[in-house]
Amino acid sequence: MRRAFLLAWRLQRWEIVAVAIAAGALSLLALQLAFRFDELVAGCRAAAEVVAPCGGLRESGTIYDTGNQGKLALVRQGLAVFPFAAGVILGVPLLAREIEHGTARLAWPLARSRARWLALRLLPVALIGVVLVTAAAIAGQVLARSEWPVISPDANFEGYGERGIPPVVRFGLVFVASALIGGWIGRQLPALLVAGILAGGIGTGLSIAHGSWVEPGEGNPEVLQPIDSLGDMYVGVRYRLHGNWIGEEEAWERLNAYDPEGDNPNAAELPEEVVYVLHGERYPEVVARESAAVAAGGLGLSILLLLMVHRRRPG
Amino acid sequence: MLRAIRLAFAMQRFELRLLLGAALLVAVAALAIAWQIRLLREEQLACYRAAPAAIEGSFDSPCSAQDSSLNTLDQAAGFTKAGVIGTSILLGLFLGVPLVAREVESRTSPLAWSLSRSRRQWLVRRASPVFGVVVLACLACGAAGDLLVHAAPWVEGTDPGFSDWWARGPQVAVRGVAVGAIALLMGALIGRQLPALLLAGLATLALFVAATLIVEGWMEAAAEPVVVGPDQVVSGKIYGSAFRDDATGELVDYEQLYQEFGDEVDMYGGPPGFSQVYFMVPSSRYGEFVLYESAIFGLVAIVAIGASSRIIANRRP
Repeated sequence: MRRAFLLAWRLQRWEIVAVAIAAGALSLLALQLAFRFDELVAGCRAAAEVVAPCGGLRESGTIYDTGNQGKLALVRQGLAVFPFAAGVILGVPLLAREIEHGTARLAWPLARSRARWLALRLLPVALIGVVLVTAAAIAGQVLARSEWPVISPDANFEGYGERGIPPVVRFGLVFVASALIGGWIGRQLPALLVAGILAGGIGTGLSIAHGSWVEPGEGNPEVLQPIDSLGDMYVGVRYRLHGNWIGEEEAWERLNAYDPEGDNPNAAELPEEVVYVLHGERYPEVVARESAAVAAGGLGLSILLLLMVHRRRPG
Repeated sequence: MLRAIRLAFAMQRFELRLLLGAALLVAVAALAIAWQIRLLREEQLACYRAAPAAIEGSFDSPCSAQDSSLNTLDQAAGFTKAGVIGTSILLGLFLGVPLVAREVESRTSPLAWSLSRSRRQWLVRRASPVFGVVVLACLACGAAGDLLVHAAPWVEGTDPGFSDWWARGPQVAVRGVAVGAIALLMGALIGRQLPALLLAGLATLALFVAATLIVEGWMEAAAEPVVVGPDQVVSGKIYGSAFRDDATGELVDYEQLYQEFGDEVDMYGGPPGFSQVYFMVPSSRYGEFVLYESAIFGLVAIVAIGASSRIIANRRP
């Protein structure tokens, strides 16, 4: 196994270093922000939570630190994109480079079996990638805990996909998909383009599916402050009239027709707007379901990858 | 030259097809969205003209169908403008890197270079068709982006000023060439495609940040005080505001004036005898700053191409 790691390092040194630098920079920036927020929160609590940014802490559960908002947004976007970028950068050259350089013609017949060759090439790089993505995901989790100090990160949908288990599982899926595309196209740059587009598609698909992993529930209609619904994820609104659901179009027609100044104010015919949310406590359930689905997808793609390596011509 | 173009297409067929397809998609989308915005805006204006007078306090819009469609188109326009920026960068990176790096990595460079009269001539013949494609595709995207910005409902035939500076005009092509030149240099320097692409991406990011900071600095230094009437609409890049004492011509800032006149001063107008002044770069200077920015990117392109040529001339194949 040590030889396999050495080979992976020798063949993909540049990509591993690039991903490691990105992981290190993101983790450091996230931890630096988290420590800054911890200091602010400690100061706020000592000051009885009455002055800014403590007002924000009291009302919405987060802190308004204007000096760090731009940096925070950048780091969080970086954490969200990192697993996809790492998967593409590490996954594409695995097969594409061997095929493009013609070294697969030598390496595949020399190996005991192509499956064994694939395992020895794929696993070390995958493991290195998992370690690097996990480091960034842990830093993301620390950042979420510090940014939302009055709530557990495991009951909070803020920063979903930037921390904890989801980035690691997403990396695995994109990594296998990128290796598959690399093997299918057999040239690095075209494969990188296609894998980049696919990774974007996977990211978009996961964010669309985000609210569908579990059945959402009705939000609390008595919400007075953002802190009352802290950690919940907004899914959408539905409209109800006299206890029956009505369509959005009909609801808007009724709302537009409402004339409080008219002769006959028709307030009784106004629909009730019902907010649907995923309650924060369901965060672990959503993570488990998404991770299971993504892991199943990754497993399916791994089988396809194995079949492709078995059947593909090496040049 | 035709042979050089054929060779470029044969060697980079996949990237060319994909990226030119993307550029075409962005350009066509920009044109279609601009056309739809103009049609809908006319419809919306006609609808508002025919609508009864609004009831005070009512949020109901008489033309909600057109309003929401225009909002959707505005969002689509935002994505398309991002597409113009992204396409120019991707064209430069993915077409520039493999020009030398693929030859070195696949070990075809010893043959290719020895068959050419000189390595510099080889580079010119290999790179010029590719850079030609980058320029044409970026010009098309930039022109479509320009049309899209001018079609925005808030522009209505006026000067859009500096808005969406990055996503329109011929400067998109200059940026594309600069990115391509950086990618070519990294490819020649490292001789491996993926590492060169990663480094070229990083260098491109650094170049864009540096160019933005430099041009912003120049613009801020060039900002001049412009007196603005209470209902006057101004177009340009605004960096700050103050008030002018009409009697003496002296400029006074908001804080000073507020201490003297209290609530008579608000953000939109001063007390009698004072005029609002904006420190701004007027839209009329847009072309001048486009030239400055293009000069930065052009210079980087020239230096990078020169360095690539030198590296290739001295490099072991």
